[in-house]
Amino acid sequence: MGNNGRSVIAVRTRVIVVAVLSLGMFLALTACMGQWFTQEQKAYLVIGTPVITGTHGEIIISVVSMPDEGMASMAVDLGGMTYTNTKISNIAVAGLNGFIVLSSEFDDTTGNGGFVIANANAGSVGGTVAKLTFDVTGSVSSGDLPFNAPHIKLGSHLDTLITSWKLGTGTAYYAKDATQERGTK
Amino acid sequence: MKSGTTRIMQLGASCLFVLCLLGVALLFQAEQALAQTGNIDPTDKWAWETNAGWINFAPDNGGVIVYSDHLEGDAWGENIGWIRLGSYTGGGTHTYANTTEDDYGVNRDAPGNLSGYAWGTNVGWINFNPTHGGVTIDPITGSFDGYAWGENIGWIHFKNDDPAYNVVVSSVIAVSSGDVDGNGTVDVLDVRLCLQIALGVIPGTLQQRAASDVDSDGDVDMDDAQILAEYIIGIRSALPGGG
Repeated sequence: MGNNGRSVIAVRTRVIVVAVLSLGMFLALTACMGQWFTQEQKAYLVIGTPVITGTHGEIIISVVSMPDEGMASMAVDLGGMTYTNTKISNIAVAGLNGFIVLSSEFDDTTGNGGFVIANANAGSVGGTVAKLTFDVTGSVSSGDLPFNAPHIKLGSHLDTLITSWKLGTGTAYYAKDATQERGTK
Repeated sequence: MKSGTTRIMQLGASCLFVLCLLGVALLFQAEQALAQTGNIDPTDKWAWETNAGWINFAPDNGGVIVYSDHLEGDAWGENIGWIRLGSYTGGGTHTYANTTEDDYGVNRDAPGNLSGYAWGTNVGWINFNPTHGGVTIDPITGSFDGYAWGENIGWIHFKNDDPAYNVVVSSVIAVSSGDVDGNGTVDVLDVRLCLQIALGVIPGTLQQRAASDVDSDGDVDMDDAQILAEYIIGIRSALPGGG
């Protein structure tokens, strides 16, 4: 093989290396831009962590990424939520952001509860929808007021049942105020 | 003494028999009256045919019944006699095939379009979905509109401004209480629809309003939404109407 043959091979090698590098750079850039990940938009019903002030407790209920123009109705069967009745009593539910309470029952004797909220005008794709308030004796955690997902029905603004969603607990995603947001940074 | 007791017993038995007969007669009359009344508004019950005159959809001895998917009963034409809206008389849901002389009648689809044939004893077939015509029932107001075609009498008109006449459904029979969206189940979607009707966010169709009025007081309000909500989460074991 002469010098000419070697230089041809060298040029081809460089072209291939440059092409591979370019492709790699392109893939890396598009990945950084989020083109290679389709964020899975799971719908969540979030039961917030109990916030206790003295003998008073509050739980915010919110939704995240609800489909079909948002959640517009929610029914928790009687017994779909339970609570430690030695620690929690006198529960009341209030609708937020256009949601109104159509019925509710909380039995301090059995520790069973259920309620229905609905928004006649719009659905909520994400945001707070209801607030539970109650009296507290002693320390209370999320485990003292569990919700049972199979006994909860969600309806959308498009009048369809929302079937693909998960129950989440913790601080309501959309309940963070500016102070909390700054605090997390 | 024995014959006196027997007479009293015979008299008692006779009275009981007469009372039973009276009861049966009253029951029969009540059922007949219900069947004859139909569900057409007692005032807005007139259609007009150029050659046959007025046709009454809520006559004293007949009456048309509008169900969610078909019509039954009889209208009365002042000059043409009885017009039967369908051969079926069982209520509920039904669809006329309109292929034989014993399976004919007027069908109704969800948006309120009528189709099929009625039969006039003296005038023959009347087509409710003819070319260049057609009859509808507004799902919200219950108002008939448009033209049917009688093969021997011509066009029958159901709504007019001057002179004003109209045939209007006053209520829809055969709705399942609480099943506002008509999908066969009562759930949270029905509660919200009921709420929307109660608050005037949507007017609701005749069927939806009828199914929403779960306390049967004649209107749809927050009481109905609350009752439905209590029912779907198990606070109530049944709806007031047994739905």
